[in-house]
Amino acid sequence: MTGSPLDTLRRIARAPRPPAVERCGMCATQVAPEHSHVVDLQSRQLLCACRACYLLFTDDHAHLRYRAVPGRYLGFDGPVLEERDWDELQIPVGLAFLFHNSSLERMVAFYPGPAGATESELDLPAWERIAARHPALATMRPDVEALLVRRGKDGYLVPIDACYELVGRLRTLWRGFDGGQEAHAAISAFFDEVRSR
Amino acid sequence: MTWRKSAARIDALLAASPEGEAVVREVADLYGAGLERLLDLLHARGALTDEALDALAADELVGGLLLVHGLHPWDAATRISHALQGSGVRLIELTADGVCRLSGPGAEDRVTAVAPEVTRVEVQTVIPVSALFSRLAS
Ligand SMILES: [Zn+2]
Repeated sequence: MTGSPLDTLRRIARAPRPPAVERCGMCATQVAPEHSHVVDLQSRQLLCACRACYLLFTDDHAHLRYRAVPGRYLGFDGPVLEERDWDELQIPVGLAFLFHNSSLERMVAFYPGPAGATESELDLPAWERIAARHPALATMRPDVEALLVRRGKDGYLVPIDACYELVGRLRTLWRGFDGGQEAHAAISAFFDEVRSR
Repeated sequence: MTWRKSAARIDALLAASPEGEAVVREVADLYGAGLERLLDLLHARGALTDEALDALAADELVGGLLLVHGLHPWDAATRISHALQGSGVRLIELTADGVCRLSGPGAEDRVTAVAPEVTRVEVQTVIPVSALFSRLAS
């Protein structure tokens, strides 16, 4: 039976997908679905890393281009940012992550949206005020750990790759100005996961 | 280059280097997502009237691409009946397990081109009454 000229495209587009094989971004070894990441400090990109490569970049003080993302999660009691902090940040959505960018030598704040993550101004006095209220923030490691917060709700110290994952999940779901119902459901689900860690 | 030549060229290139399928799949997914978004945007603005949708569905190229991405608005029987127009052949039946019965020969390719879900095409053969009598007589 001859069919349409588009049969080949149809076969390919409708075929079941083989599971994607993930590889180490440094040495190309295949890695398990649960694996660690390293941050490229120049491009801010995450690279999947095998155990051996990951361990090469765990020293915070080494002058290297890559840095290993640790796995710890830390909860805080109550909202970490106060209403005044949120107002000053001028973040249009009630969700943000803050981390120390060592190339810029300052704290930066990002919030999710349809285009990915958008940076928002974070001035030093505002951060110093927040850090003074929560001594555990002094242990937050530059570039690889972030403070993930929801306005009026909870806040956590999380690995930076968790923030990237959240941004990635939301990017495709985001509708309208505040994200819409689906995005909010995804945010709730994500924070439930974080809380359980 | 017409779209038919394009499609044939894709077939030939993939036959020569099957590893290209992975790239074709990603590109096809991207365009499929784009088509779906396009229809959603038009629909949200009330621009996807029955007339517009039927024109898209009836177009051989656009309809074919919608079919590639599982976005075709017509069911299989409607697609087959439409493709049979002008052939002198009618669709008698499309069974749940994909058997398509046609009233006469010569239109099988039209069916398979628009209905990939068809598993077999059967052509009803009609023996003229005169032949029946002569057979009985022999
Ligand atoms: Zn490696």
